Amino acid sequence: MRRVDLLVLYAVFFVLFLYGPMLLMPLFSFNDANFATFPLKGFTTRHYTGMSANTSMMTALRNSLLVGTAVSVVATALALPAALALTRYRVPGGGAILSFMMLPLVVPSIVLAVGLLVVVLRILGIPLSLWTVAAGHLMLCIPFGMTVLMSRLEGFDRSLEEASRDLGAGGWGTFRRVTLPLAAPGVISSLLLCFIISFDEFVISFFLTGTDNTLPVFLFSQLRFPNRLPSTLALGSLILVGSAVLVILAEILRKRGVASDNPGDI
Amino acid sequence: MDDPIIRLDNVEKSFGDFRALKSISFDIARGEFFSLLGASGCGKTTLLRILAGIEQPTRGQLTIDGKPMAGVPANQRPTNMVFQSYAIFPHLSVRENIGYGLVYQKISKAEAKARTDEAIELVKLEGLGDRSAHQLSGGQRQRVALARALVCRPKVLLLDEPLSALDKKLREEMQQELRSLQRTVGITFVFVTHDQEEALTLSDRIAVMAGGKVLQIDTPQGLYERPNCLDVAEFVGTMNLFPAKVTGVDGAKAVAAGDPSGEFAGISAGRPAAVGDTVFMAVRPEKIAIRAGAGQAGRNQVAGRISSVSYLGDRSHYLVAVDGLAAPVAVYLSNLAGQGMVGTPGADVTLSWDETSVLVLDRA
Amino acid sequence: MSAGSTRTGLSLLSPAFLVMAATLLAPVVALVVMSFWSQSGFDIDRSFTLKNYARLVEPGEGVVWYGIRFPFAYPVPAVLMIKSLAMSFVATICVIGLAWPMAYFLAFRVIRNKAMWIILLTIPFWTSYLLRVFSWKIVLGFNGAINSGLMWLGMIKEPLEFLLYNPVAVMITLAHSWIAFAVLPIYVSLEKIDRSLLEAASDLGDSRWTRFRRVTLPLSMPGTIAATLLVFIPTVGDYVTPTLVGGPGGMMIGSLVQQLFLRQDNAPLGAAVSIVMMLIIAALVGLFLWLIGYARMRKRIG
Repeated sequence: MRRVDLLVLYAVFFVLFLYGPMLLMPLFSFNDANFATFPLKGFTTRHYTGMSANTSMMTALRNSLLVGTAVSVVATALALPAALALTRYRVPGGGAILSFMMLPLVVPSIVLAVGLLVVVLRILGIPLSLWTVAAGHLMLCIPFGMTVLMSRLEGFDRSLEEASRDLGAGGWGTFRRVTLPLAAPGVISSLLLCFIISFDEFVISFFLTGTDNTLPVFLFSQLRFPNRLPSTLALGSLILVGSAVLVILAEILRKRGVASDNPGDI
Repeated sequence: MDDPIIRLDNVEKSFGDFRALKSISFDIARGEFFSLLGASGCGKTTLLRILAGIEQPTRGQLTIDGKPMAGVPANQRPTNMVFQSYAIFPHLSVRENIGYGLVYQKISKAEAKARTDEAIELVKLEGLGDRSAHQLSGGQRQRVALARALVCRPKVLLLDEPLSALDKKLREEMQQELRSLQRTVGITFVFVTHDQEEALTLSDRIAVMAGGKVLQIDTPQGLYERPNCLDVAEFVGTMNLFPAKVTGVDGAKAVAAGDPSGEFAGISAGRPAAVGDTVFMAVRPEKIAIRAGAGQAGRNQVAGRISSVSYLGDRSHYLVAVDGLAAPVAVYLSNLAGQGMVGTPGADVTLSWDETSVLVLDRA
Repeated sequence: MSAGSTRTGLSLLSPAFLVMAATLLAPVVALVVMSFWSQSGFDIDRSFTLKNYARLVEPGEGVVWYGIRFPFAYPVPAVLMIKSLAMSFVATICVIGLAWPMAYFLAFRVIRNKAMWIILLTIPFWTSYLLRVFSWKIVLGFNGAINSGLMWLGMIKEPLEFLLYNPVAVMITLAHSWIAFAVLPIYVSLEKIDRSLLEAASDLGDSRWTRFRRVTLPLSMPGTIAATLLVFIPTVGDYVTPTLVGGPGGMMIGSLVQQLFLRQDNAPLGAAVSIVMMLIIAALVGLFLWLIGYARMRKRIG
């Protein structure tokens, strides 16, 4: 029994360690002071109420929402057929292609960022903008989208699609009537996760953005000014909460999807 | 065969270097309940999937209902399939599952509904139409799979081990239902199974497969009584085998000297035996008569000693050790009225049988 | 499958592949090409040269760092490379050491609410890396939570200056930021272990501890190795953490790449540093996998 208790205790401390530092941000954002220091002075929401008047923050927010939405849709739209190809068709060299496409998960993002910078500025000679940021985010998101969708597509019985063919549906009909509905939880979770990745991404945005900041780049620029700390904390807290909600949603959808794959008592 | 529903002509299938099917040629008649029987990996499911159009043959010709099937995809074939896993669409209700294929038939909505209702009734799922796949038992899922395929009115229904996921009692019930269903709808059934009893119970004809080849195609009775080779004899039912060397041949009849003892006479099942051939003389356990006491070894008669007895209620199984034979001889005896046990383990017995019950089988 | 379905597969795969080729392959190739060019004033000289690579190993007076001598004319990249590797190594060891018991707890002790625990551990995985790092600045800063808290409690009079802007702060922050990445792969490999294997081990005479050492630990190795690499590889080149909490003393190789590209405007040298960094990481990973016999392990455990 003592072993079990120790491990539970460890798990609790682990979660505290994981969340503790991050939770200081919302804590201090409601503190009626201009520094993130103890003792707490009192409760206020004034750091939040001033945010909507901050036009550069609002522009950055708008940019991030725009890029995030576009990237999540495009990345998922590209990842779905690619995931289908790798799970349903014999593609020569498929394993190597998959490994290549998963590289952004391990290559340090600074390398990806400067590489993209070289391509955009030196080779293509196009000016930096939200478009170049979006291109970088697309590269980061496609592997995540593919991971989510491939595990979803591998999760259900292949004979469902064969049955659809057998009952008269063609390739497109089978996709529309069987594959897509069954992959839907994966598609939605891919959309959400890609959005979060793009929305939170900093290094690539920092290198590839022109005059239009995304929210993390804006946030980074604010960190240099101690007097803007409170509003930075408020913004950070909102981003944390927003991402957490989206992640929970995405995970619940994914879990629900997996559970419904094994119905009945077979 | 005149106007068969299915004709296979030298069909072959390879997966890379692996030859899953080797030169398969046979016909299936209209309205037949035809089974493909074999151990797992024998190629029976591959053959079924080729009939369905899910796999394409590497070589050879497949004709269904007089039309060559080369290049015809699964969705344009007059076949429908009941999958081993049933493949019930989990996001659709029972009714939507059954109506899935009707979208592709040129019929009105009203007729589609009527046909769906009829199919639901046919497989006794009345009142369950709005359930989702999650809420069905194994047997019910099987019925949905059947109805979904039959509602498309295929010329051939393909069934891939549809009963293997059910428990024994339910399986036997479903066997009866399948058989009567097939008679009702009159469609050709091609049924894949590894269960020889199931195949014997259900089928008009059975193709026994092994190693990608068809060994024998015959009626259940034909397969059991006249297996054409060792593999079929051993796969279908139990067979006692006595190694022997042929000493005399008279037409299909052959006389052979037992190795090490005894003399046998029997009928050649495959190609006629020739003098000097090394063969197996094969006898089914229930064709052997057993009596107490050590008798003389003679033609179609051997002496032995009981090594074990299993009492099974309606019958008893004896295993009899015979000098010089590696495996004991199995003897099945019906426990008829007034008949006691022949003996207990250790008792000397004499086994004998009629020469019409003996098959001469080639060494594999 | 027929040739037709291979064609369909390729056409389904190609859009995503082309985008990845343009945004991943092209940049890496561009970096390699760029590293063989040179900077002259504001322009790039596009004639082939090994100058940038030569500069990284050009002998010179050098510096001594923690007792190690770097005898190079331009020793900064070499020092930062070694320093980054060392810091990532320590952070990775801490991450794996801390994540392992958590993954074990998740796989073997949590029976109900497993999904909830997994989501709890997944959220930090996805939330802004920048914010996770920034939160340590709040914790460790001169005016941070620890200093102000301790002063408030009367345990110290002056803020402790050694908390932030040093390699230790960087390593703590790295470990914290990446720990969520490590729990999941280890958890997955533990979860996959057939429970009857453990019962069989006990049945054959293993005690709890020997069973752990002889069955659980070896079978969890693929996940543990994956976690190790997933943390080690990206942290070596990290840029955000050293910038925010490292200070001058906590600089890493990623900071140098950023400076060479954005501030010193010497992209070719920056490209050469990036390429060398990736090659060194790849070589170390290869060596690590070879040393532990990863290929054989994968063949057996799958």
